[in-house]
Amino acid sequence: MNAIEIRGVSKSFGDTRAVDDLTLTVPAASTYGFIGPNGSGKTTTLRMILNILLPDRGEVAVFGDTSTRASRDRVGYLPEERGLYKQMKLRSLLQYFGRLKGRSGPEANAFVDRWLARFDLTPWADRRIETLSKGMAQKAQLIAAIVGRPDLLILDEPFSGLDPVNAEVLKDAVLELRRSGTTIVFSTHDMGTAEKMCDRIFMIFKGRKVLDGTLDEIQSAYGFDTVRVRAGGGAAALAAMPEVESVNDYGQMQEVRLRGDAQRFLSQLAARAPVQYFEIARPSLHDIFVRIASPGADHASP
Amino acid sequence: MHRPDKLFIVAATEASMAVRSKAFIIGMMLMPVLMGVSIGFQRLWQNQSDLQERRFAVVDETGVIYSSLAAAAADWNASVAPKDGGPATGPRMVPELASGDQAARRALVDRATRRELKAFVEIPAGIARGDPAARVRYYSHVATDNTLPRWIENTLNRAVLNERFRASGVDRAEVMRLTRLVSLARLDLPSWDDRGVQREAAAVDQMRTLGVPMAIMTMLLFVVISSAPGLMNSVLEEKLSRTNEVMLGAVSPFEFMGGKLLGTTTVSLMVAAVYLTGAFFVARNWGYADVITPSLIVSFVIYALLGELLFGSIFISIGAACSDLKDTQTMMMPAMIVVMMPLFVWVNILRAPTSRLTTVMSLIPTATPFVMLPLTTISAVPVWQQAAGITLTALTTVLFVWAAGRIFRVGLLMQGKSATFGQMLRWVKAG
Repeated sequence: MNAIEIRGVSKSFGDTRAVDDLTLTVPAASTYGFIGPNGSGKTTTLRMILNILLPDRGEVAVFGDTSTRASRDRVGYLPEERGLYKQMKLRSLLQYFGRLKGRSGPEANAFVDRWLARFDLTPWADRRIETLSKGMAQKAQLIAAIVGRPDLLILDEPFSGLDPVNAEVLKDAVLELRRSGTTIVFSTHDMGTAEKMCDRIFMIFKGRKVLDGTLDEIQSAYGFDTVRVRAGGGAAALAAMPEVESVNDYGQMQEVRLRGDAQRFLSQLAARAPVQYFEIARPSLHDIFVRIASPGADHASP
Repeated sequence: MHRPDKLFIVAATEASMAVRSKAFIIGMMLMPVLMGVSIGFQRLWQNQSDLQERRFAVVDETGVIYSSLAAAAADWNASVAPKDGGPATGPRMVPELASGDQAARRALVDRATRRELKAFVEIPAGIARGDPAARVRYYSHVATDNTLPRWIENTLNRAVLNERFRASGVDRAEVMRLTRLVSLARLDLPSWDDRGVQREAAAVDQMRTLGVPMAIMTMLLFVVISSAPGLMNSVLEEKLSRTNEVMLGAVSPFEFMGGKLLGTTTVSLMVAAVYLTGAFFVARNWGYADVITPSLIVSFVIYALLGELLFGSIFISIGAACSDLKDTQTMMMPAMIVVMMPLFVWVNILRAPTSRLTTVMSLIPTATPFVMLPLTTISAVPVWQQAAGITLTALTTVLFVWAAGRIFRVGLLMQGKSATFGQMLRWVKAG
């Protein structure tokens, strides 16, 4: 059973085509990462999955149902732009979302109390939302998204703006939901998070799908054309080498995309400077993202 | 499929949030309390101030008027004096005769400044002869006191006229009889009982014919104006705070909008019920309890409901289509003019309740709620007209709510530039 099936979907706003003939399948119980630069069509795609926006063309099915309204209660959503009713008290607000998601009063109350305790928000339960810090509000928002115990949880930039401690708390919560069988779809600009957390990754660029697969499949498509190297002289030692396509300088280490042979590059580099570390690798997701989305890049193929 | 239960959950929460808001508490609780305190304070103050003795000096250049004035004051004081252990019913009037020379005038001013006198009055000699240039002068340091100058003016008029008639030798009573104006008694149509005996036609009551319909229209306008623009602000606030997208993750746009509309309508009807109850007690106090009949209450609820849903959907659309407060104020203007339109032609409606203008106004859906019900209290509105008014308004309300749903769906997620009326129409067409 697939959680989401998007078939030939297009969506335009005026003259701008936000999503262009997109087809995508998200298997149930998977963790799917949506990546792409700002304005590439991620949020529009998520909104179409949620039936907040309707596609101009094509079809979106959630758990096999093309009328997402019918399956709305099975879907939890944490939008990128977060907002809660500031005048409402935290517990009342979460119970409200629980009722909207079809949970009975006692059931929703028990769930809310458990998650408030888990996120150390119990002392704030009877305070107004406007008194919460940003981290607390974000945790409250996640509870609001999962209070309906969704089978599909859609998170739009869930970790943005969070300090490492709160990001870790939220990540653990998401992973727990994943382990309990919830399908997780989240968009992120953090490639490290996508690499570590996602079973499959989908990249959209200028409204079109440019990547879709497991990390291994995606990296394999690009081959072993990358080396990570630490040499005396740093990035300067790599200047004007014929085998080098591009250099990503991290200061203590450089990630080099090769246009030629790795062994020949190593011997040329060793002749220039002492080589302290050398690893032949596949490109990172970050590198692949930059290759596709940087201005003037050929994003059509690896 | 929309889920009605979700719509009702949103409506209940919206209503609950609204009734806990400061605006509602002030509107429902504080306003009547403040009004009651204000009325009570006014009455108390009025009694206190009216019982203060009015001592004043009279410079009588006619030499004959003062005695009449003093006699009238004595009669007045006797009439307002405490009786049977009760309180006085008015202030005592205490005139004193004064000289008109410069020194005496200065002394009067000093006494008035020291609050020993409320005022002093100069009666010129020519006043008794009917000299058109002659004017009685009233000097006082209390410009806001109307009781004393009014009493003096009335009393002087009687005394001076008596003096003029006496001086001319004409019988005043005969003149009054000959010059008495014709009075017109305005009555309702007569009716006959079962035995064919004509009943006494009741006099037309201005309060009943003008005050009651005006009060009903004002209350209906109040119900709509006090809530519909608030709905617009609430939608805009949710857009700006991005709460809308969180909500749209849980409910459909129609359920969201419908819930907001229903919740706000419920609250406005609660406000209306409270004010209607207040109106009943006020009406009963003044002897008009029979005006507020069960059918009037039912009609009031129906028209308030239609007006609230109709204008609520208009204002909710404006809120969804705009992206900042300034734009909502600009777009709200035409809508407010439409709401207030019946008020602009209200005088014409009262003067000619069966005219073509009134009939047309009563059938314009945006005006029907405010025109039809008050109209039924001043004339017999044909059943077809009432049925047509309700039907047209109900159909228009359904159309507006449907269109608002489409505008709401698109506008709610739109940030940046506000939509124009043209764009809103395109959204309605596109769906």
